[in-house]
Amino acid sequence: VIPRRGLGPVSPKLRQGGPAALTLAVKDATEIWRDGRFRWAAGLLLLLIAAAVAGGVHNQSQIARQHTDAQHAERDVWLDKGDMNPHAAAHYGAFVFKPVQPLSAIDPGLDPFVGVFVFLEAHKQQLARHRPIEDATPTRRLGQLTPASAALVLLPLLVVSLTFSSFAGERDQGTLRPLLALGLSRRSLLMGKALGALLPLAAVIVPAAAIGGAFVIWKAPADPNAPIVTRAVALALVYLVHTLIWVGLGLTVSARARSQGAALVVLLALWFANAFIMPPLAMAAAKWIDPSPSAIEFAAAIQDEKDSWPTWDERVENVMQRFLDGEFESTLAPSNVEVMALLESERDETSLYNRHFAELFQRWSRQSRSMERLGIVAPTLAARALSAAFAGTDDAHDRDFADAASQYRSAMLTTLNGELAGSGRFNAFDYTRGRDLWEKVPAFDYDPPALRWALTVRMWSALALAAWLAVAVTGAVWSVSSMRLD
Amino acid sequence: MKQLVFAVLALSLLVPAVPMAHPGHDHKLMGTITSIDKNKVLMKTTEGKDMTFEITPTTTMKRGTQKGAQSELKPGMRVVVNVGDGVEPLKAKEVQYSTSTTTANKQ
Repeated sequence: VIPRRGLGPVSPKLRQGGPAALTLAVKDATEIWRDGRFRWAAGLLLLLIAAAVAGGVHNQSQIARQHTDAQHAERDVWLDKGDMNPHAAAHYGAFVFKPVQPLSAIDPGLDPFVGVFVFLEAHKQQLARHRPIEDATPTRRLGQLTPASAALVLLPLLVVSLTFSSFAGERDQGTLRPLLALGLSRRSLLMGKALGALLPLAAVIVPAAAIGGAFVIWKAPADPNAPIVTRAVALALVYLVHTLIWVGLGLTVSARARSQGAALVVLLALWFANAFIMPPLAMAAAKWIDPSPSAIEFAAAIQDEKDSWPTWDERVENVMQRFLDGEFESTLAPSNVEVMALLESERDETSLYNRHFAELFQRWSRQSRSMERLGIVAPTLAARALSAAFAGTDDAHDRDFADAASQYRSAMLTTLNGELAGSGRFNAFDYTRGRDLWEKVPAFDYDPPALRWALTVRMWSALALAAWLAVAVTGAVWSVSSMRLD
Repeated sequence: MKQLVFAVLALSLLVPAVPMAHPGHDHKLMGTITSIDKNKVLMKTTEGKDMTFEITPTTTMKRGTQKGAQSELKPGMRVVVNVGDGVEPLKAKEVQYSTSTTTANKQ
């Protein structure tokens, strides 16, 4: 009896599909498990993931503690700097540190490549400084094994090794037709093969998730409001969906390929393209579509514009002339011309920096979106974008921190310059204040955005991943329903 | 990362070496003349404070960019007064004025 092609309506045979699929899955899983090569590969992968999680969590908690200590020390330095002019205090400046996200231990994302603190000062807005990669040893530049890269790069390779022969192998050995002749429907066959691949995978995924969860909870930040659980669940979901997509792709290719050798070649090519070709290609394409200035070009553009501004003496003269011409009619403007000129200069500089930074961030955001668009042709790209977003380590989170630092700087300058302007002293630049004023500038307290925000920002990637899951499942169903048996 | 913390703290401690970016120049104050008594001029600053400055023989008078004269000063006139180091009693080094007689701080 040769089962008909296609996955038609439910037949009496299909009623046995569940147990038959399970029997087939157990048989396949047992065979895979008995294969010493799989046990070695799975054991090695589990070891790598555990090591990556342990190393990542240890490193993350150490860095987080150092950032917290540095932020506290910096606050003490700010408060204890003694008496000085309020505007001099603005020049004295303050450092604010980017809080280390708990799940950066799982996916450090861009964290090694972006600065960890921002120096806030009068007249000048800066990008974050000190990128951790600068401290790295030369070997670190070859790449770092992280739990995210293990889940998104190594795990799919294991999936490929488990699925490439699912149908093609049976066909090569001539057992596919007899298998269906036993009365097994194609749908049951597909379910059995999928489960047969997933069960051995569970031997890696379940302990890895347990180890990861245990480490993350053990080293969780003291802050009870840290959105760690929802983000961790979302992260796990991304890795699970990505794995399921690869299972679907593996079964699809295996069902369609001429031989298991051909299936392996196709799947390895897909895996290699997703893991190693598409990320740099997408990055290059994004930069080509929306070129961004280098750090030197960015600074030069700001300086060029500042160079076209009036000199300090011209600015002071301008304030005097405007006053004599009738401006400042109904304001409580400072009576000292230079204080007025200083406030206007600060306002113009803040506006200039805000505009240039906004342009730069918009450009980076467009690049990021371009990269995301390519997730539609490479599921691993979409999964990478979501993984970093849920871990709080992508470019969008970095920009959110930069915005918070910029707003804090504006508030700090408003407090300090406002004190200078409102001092009521003719000689405002000799006016000094102490700790009571420094305390009016609150400590920098940055809360990263919620998971919902991250999901909204990366909605395209989420939709792309969902679409890939649908395509992989549909592809597997269609391939198995129409596959040849000999 | 420890180097990072030390570097930041070292930077923090170095910054106070830069005392102020705007060292004291001559102080120029904006206000409107409220009364004149010989060489003593009372004016209300844009902050709403009353202050008195003295016109000395070395005081330069300017009407806009032109040379001016003390006799042209009138109550209600907007002036920018260079009061030197700002130490009281204030002596004007230069008085720049407009012919406008509007009040500088209608509040």
